[in-house]
Amino acid sequence: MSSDLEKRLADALEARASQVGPEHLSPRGLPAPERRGPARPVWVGLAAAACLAAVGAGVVVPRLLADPDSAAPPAVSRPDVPSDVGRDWTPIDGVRSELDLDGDGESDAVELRGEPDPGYEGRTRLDVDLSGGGTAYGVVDLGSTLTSYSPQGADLDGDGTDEMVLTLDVAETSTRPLVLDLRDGVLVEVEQPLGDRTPLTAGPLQAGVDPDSGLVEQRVTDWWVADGTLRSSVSETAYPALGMSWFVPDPYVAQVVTWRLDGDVLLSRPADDVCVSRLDDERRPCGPGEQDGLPDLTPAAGDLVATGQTADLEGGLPSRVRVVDAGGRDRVLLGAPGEPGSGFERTGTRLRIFTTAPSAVVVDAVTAAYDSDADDRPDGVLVESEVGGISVLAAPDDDPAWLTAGGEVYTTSAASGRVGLGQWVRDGDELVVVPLGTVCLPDDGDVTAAERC
Amino acid sequence: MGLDELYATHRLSLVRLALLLVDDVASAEDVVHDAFARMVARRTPLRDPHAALAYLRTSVVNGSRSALRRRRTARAYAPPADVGPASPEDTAVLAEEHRAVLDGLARLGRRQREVLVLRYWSGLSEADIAATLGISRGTVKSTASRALGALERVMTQEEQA
Repeated sequence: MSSDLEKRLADALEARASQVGPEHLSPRGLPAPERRGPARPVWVGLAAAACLAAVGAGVVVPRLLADPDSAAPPAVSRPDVPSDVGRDWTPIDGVRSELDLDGDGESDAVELRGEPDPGYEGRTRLDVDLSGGGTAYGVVDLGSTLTSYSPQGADLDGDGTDEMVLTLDVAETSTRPLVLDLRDGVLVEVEQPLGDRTPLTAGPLQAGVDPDSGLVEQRVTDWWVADGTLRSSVSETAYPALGMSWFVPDPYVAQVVTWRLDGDVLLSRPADDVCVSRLDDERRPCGPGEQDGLPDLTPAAGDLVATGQTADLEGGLPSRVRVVDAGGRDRVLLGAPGEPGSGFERTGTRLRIFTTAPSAVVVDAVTAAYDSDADDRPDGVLVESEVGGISVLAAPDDDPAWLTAGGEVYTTSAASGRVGLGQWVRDGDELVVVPLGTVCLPDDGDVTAAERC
Repeated sequence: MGLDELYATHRLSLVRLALLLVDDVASAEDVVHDAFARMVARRTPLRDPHAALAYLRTSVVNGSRSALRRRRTARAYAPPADVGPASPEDTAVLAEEHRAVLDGLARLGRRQREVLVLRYWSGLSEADIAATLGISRGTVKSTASRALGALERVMTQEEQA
């Protein structure tokens, strides 16, 4: 404990917590299993159903998802929110909305006001001027009053009027929709039923750790409003993440559910898969048997400079490389153009440097890939150090690697009849191989013909 | 460790954690009950007790946020700063010095409160707090630093008032 304040805080928290002892707890036991709503993410059920269906015709596929319609209609609640709360809060500018809460075919005007708070963590008041006459209001906690996502409209209960969908930040990299239903002039929040863990977020969903690489794997979740419908998706596959990088293929296959409002709760229904391209910013129906896309594994970068040669590297940070003979040793000078560059000497073998920078391996420094055994394959990368000199990051393994014109270094490793595709990435002071899944190659190993198995 | 054992072992500490976040025992008990309900609903049980406790802890923090949000929207006329330490458990009275700290804590932002509670009551590492709150370790560190500064300022203002 480094300060008096920290000790006072710890003591105060302990004192407050200690006011509740076992004798103060109600005699509740462990909760009984929840009966309604899907008890696990929809994508699990979908995958299992697909496998069973593939076993053979005539097999009755058991219904793996709970049927939302079989549940009793939930009660409709309406919290008592005083109408004057937040009328004097600060207007939030830049809000545009296209929603029709009263169902008259005209858009309603929405105004947002943020509760004054030094940390921008106050509540938000919503005022709606209904185009058909009258007003509606609500008070919500969006986590921040600093940014304002414009409300969207979607008729989730099919009654001809829109519900309001707001965007709620739930973590630094994730959002979820906050759905409000208009009841007696008040906007009331509705949520998923307790126990329903169907993802309804946009952002990474941690799925586990790859036992071989030790990397965290995450599924891609997303939600959106389109054609008056709220939908969400989760990628079929979990993808590795390392630092700020997340290795999501383009496109990736995602399973989709649509959401509808039933009383107080949002219930999901499976919909058709989509193939999502983040590069093209599109979601489209997947083609027959379509799988996750592969990165551009070709063309391979093949130009190298050897002793006595100089080249400006292509891609990455502006940089120049020179290989000079230093009395039987190769000396590589690497740095920004016009600067002498840091030196790296290698004894014994002749070094050749690729003229394409491995900019996808090392993204934040001047870097070059080297070949030390004259097989035209990269054996590691050189990195100009911030403190001067060159760091040498050797290949993480002996698997064959190739550098592409895009600056990526890919590898393949064969094990148990499967070919694993990997990608070199710098992780601190070393290179690691990020697994990108299995691929099928022709017998001659031609990577230009690689495809998902 | 089975769910029953997990419940028996950790229910009280989780209620205390929730209490520090929502500040009334009834809500805290509800939050923890819901957290265990979510765990019971899992078809794939968490067999690692540490993972299970981490899951419950995150669930309690998220549940506390929801409880506060519901409280603030449904009973919006009760500003958070006015919610002093409730005392349904009237068996003990907080010392004035503790009350001053807790009053100051209640005036901080939600995330700042969560980080300080997890750090100085739960005793979690930066990495565990980051995992619990779904934020980066760097954010935990900067949030904790700013929160302590804010707490000190708030308490100083109160003392001078």
